[in-house]
Amino acid sequence: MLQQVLMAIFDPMSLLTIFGAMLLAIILGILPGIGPSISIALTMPFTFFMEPAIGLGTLVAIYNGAIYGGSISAVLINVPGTPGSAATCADGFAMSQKGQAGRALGISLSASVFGGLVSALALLLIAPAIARFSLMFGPAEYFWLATWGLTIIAAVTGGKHFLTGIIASLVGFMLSLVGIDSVTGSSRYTFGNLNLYDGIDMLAVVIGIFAASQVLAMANEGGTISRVGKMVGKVTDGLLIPFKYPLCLLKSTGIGVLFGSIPAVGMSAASFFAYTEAVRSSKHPEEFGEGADEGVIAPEAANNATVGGGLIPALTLGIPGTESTAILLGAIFAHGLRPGTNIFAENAHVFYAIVICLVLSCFIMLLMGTLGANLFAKITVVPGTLLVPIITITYFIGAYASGNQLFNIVVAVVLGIVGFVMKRYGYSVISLLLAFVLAPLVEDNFVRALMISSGSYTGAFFGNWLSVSLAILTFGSLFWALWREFKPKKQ
Amino acid sequence: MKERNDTISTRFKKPETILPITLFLFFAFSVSQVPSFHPKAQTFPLLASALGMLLTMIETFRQVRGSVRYKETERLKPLRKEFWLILGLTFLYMIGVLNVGFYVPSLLFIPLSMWIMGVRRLSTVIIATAAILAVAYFVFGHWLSIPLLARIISS
Repeated sequence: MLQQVLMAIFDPMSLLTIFGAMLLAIILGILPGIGPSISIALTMPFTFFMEPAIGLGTLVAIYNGAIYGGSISAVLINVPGTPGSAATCADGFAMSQKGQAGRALGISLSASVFGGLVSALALLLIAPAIARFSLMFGPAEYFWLATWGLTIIAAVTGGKHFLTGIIASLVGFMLSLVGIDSVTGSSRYTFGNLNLYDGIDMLAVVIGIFAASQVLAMANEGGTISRVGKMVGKVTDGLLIPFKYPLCLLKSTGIGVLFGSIPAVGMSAASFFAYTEAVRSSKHPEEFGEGADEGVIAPEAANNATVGGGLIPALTLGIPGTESTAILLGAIFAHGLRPGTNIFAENAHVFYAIVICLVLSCFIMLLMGTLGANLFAKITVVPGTLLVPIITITYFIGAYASGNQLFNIVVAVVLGIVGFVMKRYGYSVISLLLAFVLAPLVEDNFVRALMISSGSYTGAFFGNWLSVSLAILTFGSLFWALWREFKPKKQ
Repeated sequence: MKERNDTISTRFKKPETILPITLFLFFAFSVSQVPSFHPKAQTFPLLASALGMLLTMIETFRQVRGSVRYKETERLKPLRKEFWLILGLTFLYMIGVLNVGFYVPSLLFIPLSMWIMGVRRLSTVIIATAAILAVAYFVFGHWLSIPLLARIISS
């Protein structure tokens, strides 16, 4: 059976299809507001003419490629193509400003390929075990996991910026509260504006904080993205860099696989979590935000690792791990297949085809990225006179495209000003975004856990070994951060 | 004494102090809205905004006392006039897009922004404007055919 699958995938026409699909996916991923979900939705109809194994394998390849595409624009012009690439902006773009755009792209490419490959391996070898583990996550466990993520904000904002980092995270927290509360159904901070009932769109926030603020920064500074006026280094310089940080690479990949497999957590949370964990465990945390290699390795490995991670509960349990895998599940049903334990018994060839296509897409991505990245990187020496209108138009369209709301453009412009001011005066925008992503998980699951336990706090949040373990991690992380900030300094 | 008061007075007017004061007002406004929410939806907004008020107060105090300085603010240059012009133009562009559509405001925004940024050659402006609009139309409007962009590219 495996032989038949391999013969089908490596058929010249199938290979050509997958190649073309990957190229399209990378380009679509570069465009903000498009992302992997829309990329999969756009190309899904074409796969109905293919054999299910090849069609679904092609969609998985598109998913993987679109995520990497998002990092290209994040590194080069500080415009994340997907929310999951937002964490890459901090250090990836800083590298571009030093003229090391090619090197940054090489690092992100290599980390993305590694993340994708390891997640494919996890999907192949330990999918059932991870699926069983992900089923253990209830509201209390989600609450502790998200709260743990918030406590790591303190790690990102160490030293003098500790207080301003917490303030920035509280701003992000407040922004996430806008809209209809999912538990009580009541509106908060909507002021009667219908556009705010669904809350503030995440991609509009990300585009505003990074892209719109970057346009203002370029208008103020002039010149090119590369502050040295030229490019230093090529993509091949960066390909082996991630392997110099094996612990960061493996940890981030593990976070991506795990977060991808837990439903409703998502790629954004995975990449931000991996980034902040890399900061916390780095020997040189002060270098983050200034072009640290780990600042690109961590989020990129994590966000591509969510591909395989998200497929684990989707294929084994029929529960999508991420938004994009929800669309993939639709494609699986449309092809007449049923996910679940039966997929291994009745349609094992589809499962193997998906894994093989995921692996193949990583190698295709490596080839395309290596060949194309040096060309893409030239944008960093394009004068700001051209980039200001180009990036403005791009982010206007991207903000609109993400939610089909013109109001998202207003959000992006306003948050662009907020992001510019915050960065200028030392407030961490990463903290703001991390809190914005995690706060809904914290609040919703806090309330749900209490409702399930009929108001008992101990029963809700310390009811089993997993929630107790996560609680210990959370408090430990919080106390460690506070101790590090307020411990008596050596004279 | 007078010198010390002048220093504190000067620090109050600096953006590093105005920003936490502004954020304090933001959090205070957020707290004021909480009573209008459903009782079970008040906890987190109240906690977050109260904590925000406290921390911004502390940060304001630190800035006024001069007990903290950030490396980002030590090497700040004043904002250039191009920044303010691009900011104003972006606002006008946003209003134009919201009311008119995409193409006509873009047709005005691109050359004006290039002019503000220092481009004086008319041929460069015309070619860049045409190229950007053509790419935006063919990539988003035509190739992707995403219906949600139909409104934004109709004028």
